[in-house]
Amino acid sequence: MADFPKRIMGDTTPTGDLMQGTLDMLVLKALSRGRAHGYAVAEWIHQTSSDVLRVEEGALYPALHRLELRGLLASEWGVSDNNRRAKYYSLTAAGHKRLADETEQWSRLSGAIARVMYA
Amino acid sequence: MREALHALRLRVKALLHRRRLDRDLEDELAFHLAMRADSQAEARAPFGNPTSLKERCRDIWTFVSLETFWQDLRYGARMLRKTPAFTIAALLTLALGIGANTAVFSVMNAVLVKSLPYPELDRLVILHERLPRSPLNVSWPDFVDWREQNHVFRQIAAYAPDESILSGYGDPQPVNGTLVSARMFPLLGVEPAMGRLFTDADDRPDATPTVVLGYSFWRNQLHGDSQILGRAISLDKYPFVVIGVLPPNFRFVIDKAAVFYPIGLNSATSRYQDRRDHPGIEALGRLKPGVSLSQAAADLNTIMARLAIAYPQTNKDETATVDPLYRSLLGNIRPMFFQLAAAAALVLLLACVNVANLMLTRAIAREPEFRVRASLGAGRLRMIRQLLTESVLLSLLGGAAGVLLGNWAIHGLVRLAPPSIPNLADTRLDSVVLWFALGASLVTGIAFGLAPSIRAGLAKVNLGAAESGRLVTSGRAGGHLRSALLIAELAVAVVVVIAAGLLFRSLARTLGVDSGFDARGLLALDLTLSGPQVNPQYDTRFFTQALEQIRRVPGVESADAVMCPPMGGIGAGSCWTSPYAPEDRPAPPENQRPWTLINMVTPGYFRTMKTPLLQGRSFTNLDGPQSAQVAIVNQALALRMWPSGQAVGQRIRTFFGSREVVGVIGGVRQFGPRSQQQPELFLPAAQAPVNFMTVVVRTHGDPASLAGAVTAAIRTVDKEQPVLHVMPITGYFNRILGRERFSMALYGVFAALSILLAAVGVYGVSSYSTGQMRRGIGIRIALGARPFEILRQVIGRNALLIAAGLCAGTVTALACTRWLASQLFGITAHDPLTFTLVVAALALVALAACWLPARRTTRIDPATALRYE
Repeated sequence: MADFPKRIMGDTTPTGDLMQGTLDMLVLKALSRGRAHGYAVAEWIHQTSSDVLRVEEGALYPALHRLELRGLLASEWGVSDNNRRAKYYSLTAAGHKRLADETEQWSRLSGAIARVMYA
Repeated sequence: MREALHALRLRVKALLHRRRLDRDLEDELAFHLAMRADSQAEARAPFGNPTSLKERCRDIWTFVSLETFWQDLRYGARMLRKTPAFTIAALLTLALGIGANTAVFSVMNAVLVKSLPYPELDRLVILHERLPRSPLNVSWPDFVDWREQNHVFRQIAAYAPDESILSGYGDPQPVNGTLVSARMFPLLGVEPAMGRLFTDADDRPDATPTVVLGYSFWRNQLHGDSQILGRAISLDKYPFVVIGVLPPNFRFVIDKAAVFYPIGLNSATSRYQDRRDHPGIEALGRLKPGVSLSQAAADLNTIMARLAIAYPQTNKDETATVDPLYRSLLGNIRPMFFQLAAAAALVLLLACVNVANLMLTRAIAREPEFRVRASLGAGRLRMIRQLLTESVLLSLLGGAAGVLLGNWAIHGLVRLAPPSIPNLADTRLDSVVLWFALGASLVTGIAFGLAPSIRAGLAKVNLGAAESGRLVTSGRAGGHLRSALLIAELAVAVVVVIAAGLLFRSLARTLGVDSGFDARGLLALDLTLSGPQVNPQYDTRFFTQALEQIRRVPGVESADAVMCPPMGGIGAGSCWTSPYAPEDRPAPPENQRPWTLINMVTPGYFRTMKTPLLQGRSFTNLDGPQSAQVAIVNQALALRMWPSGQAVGQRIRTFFGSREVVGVIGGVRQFGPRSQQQPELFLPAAQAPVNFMTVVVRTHGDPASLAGAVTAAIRTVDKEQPVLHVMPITGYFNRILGRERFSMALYGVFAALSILLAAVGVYGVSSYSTGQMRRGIGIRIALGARPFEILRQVIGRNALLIAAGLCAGTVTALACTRWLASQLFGITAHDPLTFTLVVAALALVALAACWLPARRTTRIDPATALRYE
């Protein structure tokens, strides 16, 4: 049972606020390494989390577009390794700043939770 | 903030490049799918619905609610185009309702809001003197004392209307002049558009006569002459130097005041200096901050008490009153307009109900459409929004048509405008009115759109219940809503029509009153003699000669003159009053005597008017200045003076000396059919000449046709004297009853609209319900039911609803009509005849509207009806 990947769900449920924020953070983190297309973002999160986190397309693309609309991401069209037309996203200055903020907040929060859980 | 601006910029860009947005989304997802396919990720998880994902991404980039609205709007417009009969019926109904309200609102805006355009209006008051039993005009010396001694007014100013004749610009023409004291314009807070206004130096008896012009007088009569300042115009043949022009939006407290002179020019005359027998002025004041009405009245009455001691002959028992200007000028007009607005709102309510009914019927026809949408996942709110968008679109279109209709109606109202309603002629369709119409349309649209929306919600609940034919709701819930609407509609119609009926009966009663003379065939005109040659001898000679000339005109039976015509006439001429006392017994001191009207007439006046002579004789040509001083009393005065005895031969004392009563005439209601008969004393014009009289001409046939010939006849005596207000004397009734006629006309229109809308509503409900019963009736006919039984079944239920509506309306009307009571004459607000007739008439109309569609059912061919579904 534990082997099933966790799924990061879409954005319409009211309780999804935390997940939504988490997904945004993960997307920003994925793109902090340089520009990438949506598929690469999903794959990177998937692999880096050792196949635990799996990002659904239904959540990923709305999140990318929302972040772009908020000015945290920039996008451009380019040609992929296998010669296909693909949309590449990259962090803007505002995106970098947001990622730094979120990383700090995350480490504070997870550290606090860890201290509680292992107390 | 910056984030929001950034997002807005990107969204607008996406909106402008909509096709590119679509293509990019398509490409992005296609790329993703291709990558997935390459990496055999397919096995791990399904991708989901790519179209839905694309749409969700797309929604991020677009103005979703706006686009949905636009989509709904276009869809709604298409639906309206597809059903022209429905659309036209709904639009017409709405246009009538909104048009009526727009017209009434714009009139109210002109009369109640724009007629007194003064800053801090609530601080402006009008001041009067008062004897224990009657209000009085203010005398000039009293006013001067108030002005100098009060502690409560920031400013106090006087005015008095004074008609004069302008010459030098074509034919001599009458001008509505007003005498004002120098502080009047500052008090009202007005600045000149050109030149300057009066100063204290202009407002003195020895000042050069000056005049300030109203804007429209300057523009129309003086052709907007920009060189007019400093030049003189001739008024009553005296030169007045023009010093200023008032701004276009300025309105004086009395309508039509065209030119203004300083009242101080007259203030030294003996009549102005007399505290008892004076021409009468009106006084306005602006209260100091923090001073209340009662404080102001108390302060003035302190002064009046001092004056009563100083001048017991003239001021004993006199007090002063202070009233808000607004209430004094508009106080009794306001309730009338609020009632009219209420009636108009009821008409709009009827229109709403009708359109709601139409929408309901249409919603049923559109049920399959909504079922399909619901099953495709459209939310209930989404469908209600669609319906509301459609109804608001409809009501906005109806509102636009209503504004056009209202604008047209305003022209009619202005033409009807009685002079007793201030500023009515200035009714305009301005921005305030347009905002009102927009608001009314929106509210209307939401109101009637809600009815089918409620149903749309219900329809969803019953989705599974009926897959073919009719939904369950159309039978039950819709039916109840429909019945409620029908009852409400009839109730509203009853209220409006009863209100109109009461006013109509009241006006008919008023016109049926014996005014004490025969108005048919009488032509009236006003003559006010002016110029240096005018003196009492000239007055008598002029009127005698003019009447002789008029009598020679073919078609004229007789012609006479009176100073104060019945109902006060049209012009500035007013009735005079005097205390009176009999000579034959001791009388109280003068200031405690009762008062009588005083009137001057030429010898044949009573015969010309066909006023019955009850005792004694009429005046004759022998009652001249040198002969015995005589008088005629009316019945009311005779009864008060000599309740039991013979009036003829007695003597009566007034301001006009001691006179012998030679005759008694029947009652003339001097101030119109609704006034009481007042004591009135008539003097021969030759013994008390005046320079203003109303000539009455009894004619054969149509009096209006002789207007030209009679005017020409007067011109032969002195062509310089202007002939004014030539009209059949019935015009006086219009003037005095103008307000009643005006409101009657509006109520009449509202009543007609209500009956029409109610009939259409009943017809609609009835045709719908008979349509519903078609199949059942077919079966019954097939089983041998007779036409009468069918008809009874079809009409029966609706007849019950109609009866309920009429009852509800009658009860509401019983509760509401007391608001009209003050406008009614000769009937009570619960006049049984009016109530009975109105209810009976509406019952007939409703039953007819119900019967028309029902009649068709008796001819239903059972075979067709059963195959129908």
